[in-house]
Amino acid sequence: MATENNKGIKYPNKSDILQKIRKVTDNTKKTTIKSIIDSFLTMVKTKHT
Amino acid sequence: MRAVITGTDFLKDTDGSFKAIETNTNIGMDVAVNDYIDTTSFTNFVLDNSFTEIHLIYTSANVSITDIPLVEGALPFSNFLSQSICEPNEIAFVKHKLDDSSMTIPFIEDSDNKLIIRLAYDTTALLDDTYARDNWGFLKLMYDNSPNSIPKCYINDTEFGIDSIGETLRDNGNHPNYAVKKRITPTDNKIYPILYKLNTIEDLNNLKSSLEIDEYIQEYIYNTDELIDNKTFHYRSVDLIYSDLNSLNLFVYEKTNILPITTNGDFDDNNKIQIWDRPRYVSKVFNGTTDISVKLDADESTILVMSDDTTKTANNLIVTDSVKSIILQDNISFLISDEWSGSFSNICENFNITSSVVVEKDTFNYFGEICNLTLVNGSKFSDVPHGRVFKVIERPISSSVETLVVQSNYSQLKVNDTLILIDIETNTIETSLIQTIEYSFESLQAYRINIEESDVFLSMEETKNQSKYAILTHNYNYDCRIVSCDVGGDVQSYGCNSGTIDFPYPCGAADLGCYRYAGPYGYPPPYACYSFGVYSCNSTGGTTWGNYCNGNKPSDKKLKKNIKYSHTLARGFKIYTFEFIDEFITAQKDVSNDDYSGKWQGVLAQDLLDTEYENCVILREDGYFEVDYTKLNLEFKKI
Repeated sequence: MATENNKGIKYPNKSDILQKIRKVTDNTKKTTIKSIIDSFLTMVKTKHT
Repeated sequence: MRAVITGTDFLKDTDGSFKAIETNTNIGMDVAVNDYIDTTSFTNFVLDNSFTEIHLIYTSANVSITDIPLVEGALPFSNFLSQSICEPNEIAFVKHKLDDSSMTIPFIEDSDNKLIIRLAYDTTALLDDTYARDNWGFLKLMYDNSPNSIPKCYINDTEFGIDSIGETLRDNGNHPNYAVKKRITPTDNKIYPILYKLNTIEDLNNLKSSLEIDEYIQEYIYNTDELIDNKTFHYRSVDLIYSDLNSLNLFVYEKTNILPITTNGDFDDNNKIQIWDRPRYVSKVFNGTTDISVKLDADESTILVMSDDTTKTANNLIVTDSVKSIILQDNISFLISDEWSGSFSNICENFNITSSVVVEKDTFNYFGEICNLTLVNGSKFSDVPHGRVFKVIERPISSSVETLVVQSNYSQLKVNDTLILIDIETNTIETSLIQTIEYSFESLQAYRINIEESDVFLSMEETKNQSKYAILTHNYNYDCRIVSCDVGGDVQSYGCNSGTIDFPYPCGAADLGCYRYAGPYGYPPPYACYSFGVYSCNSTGGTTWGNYCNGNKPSDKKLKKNIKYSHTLARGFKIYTFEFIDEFITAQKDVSNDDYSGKWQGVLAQDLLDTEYENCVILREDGYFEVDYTKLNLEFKKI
């Protein structure tokens, strides 16, 4: 989009420019992520032992 | 048992699969861990392993909030371990705080009854050095195990080489589709990842051939299927990796990018995303707190009113220039602190317009937040978040209301705040309400400006076809906070953030006492004491001391009751009102005849532990904490 030189869009609320963090409570997501991490750790173990 | 805490980042692709981006050690805990960690699971893990000691190896970066404060009142991880895990289970807790720059860790002998948790970076550790520091090591291992577990990559290297991008470019519409990243972390977040919208294979090949030896290309996953507040986000899994590379998940969170999505990305002629549009696509655009720690006074759009009533932009301002400046109140207006306030009516009647000289000016390439104000009178002003202006507030006292003038950073301003302006045609004070505030991310030059004697200069409105009002602006970095007065002399020294300098202080009396000038207008006491802060001198030859001003004061949470959160100072710590417990009040009366009854305002010592103000906390012989309010530069007061 065309914006002024060196300037971004102006936002009406402070919250528009702040990051948000949200806890993941979905166990399916958590399990999927954990399985990827565990397989990474298994690979590390395999490679270095 | 030795353990390390890792933070592994994922993006969820448009097909629903999770793609690992990187793993990190030496992480900051930027959530309120007590709300995120499953205390029961963690406790069971500790009890199942019969640990009697938990050691935590960390730096200040690991326990404080990183980047932009995300969670009000985030509890340091060390406090969580101490209060939620160790104390209830009678487990000893030992902290090993290292210098932030530490690359290795002290040796702590391992044994079955010890859980030694490491947050701090250790260059000799496998995960840290081979897979966290080196993105190629992580990506290659993941790719060899399961190519789809990471985004498609191009790494040109004999040992870690990957080329999974192929001949079909990712289609993200009018948004970036590829990123150039650095192999070794940490990288310069202001530059990397560099985001492109590649349209043809030729574009891709050109980008491949332009890579530096330590750069690689990764497809940019842009997924708007799930949004938080209209912002894209990534996942971070925080895990305790222990013993023989087993994992205990502590929590998983989603962290957004900074700006909301829009229809299109903003690209330059090389199809690279513009710097001001990066916060929409990445979560880090600053390097930790370093980039936002410099407090700037003005930006390139700031127009200063000169002493001859001409104007000059901040970028054209030079040292020795003479600017129009304001003395708000008697002879102390050039010494103003965060806590300063003055009577509005008194200021309106007694302010003086004077000239000050630009004695220092530092220029910075600024990228970050800009606050844009529109006032009810039509005037527009904009500045960096720490640009300091003056606003009018009303504060109840007894049965009436006093109208005060206080300072405020731009970032603290709110709609309907009343700002103090000067009508430069009539040289009179006027006020106007803030009608709207808009926030933007911009890339521009910004400045630290020091003027003397007065610290208050005038910034012209940035309103089209109108040049009537200027806003009172106080230079931030040269705000002076310490004065040592030489009784009997007319020259004092005061310390500014930029160092201690001597300055002729116009007290105008031979025999001078000095007292702290801070807090509500209407000194002397109860704001009279020798301490850090802003001082004024009087001609009575003495100083009146308040009973409870600064110095070391009991501030242990355990000694207080009816604790109520009041507000958070710009410096980052919280102010509470509270009463002391009856046992303590009685004991203090017996020991020192000090009266701690009634309601008080101050900090909780425990809040300051593991923060940059930790050196203000003293552990008393009786086991309770007290706080050196002098060092903290804060008033401990009865209310």
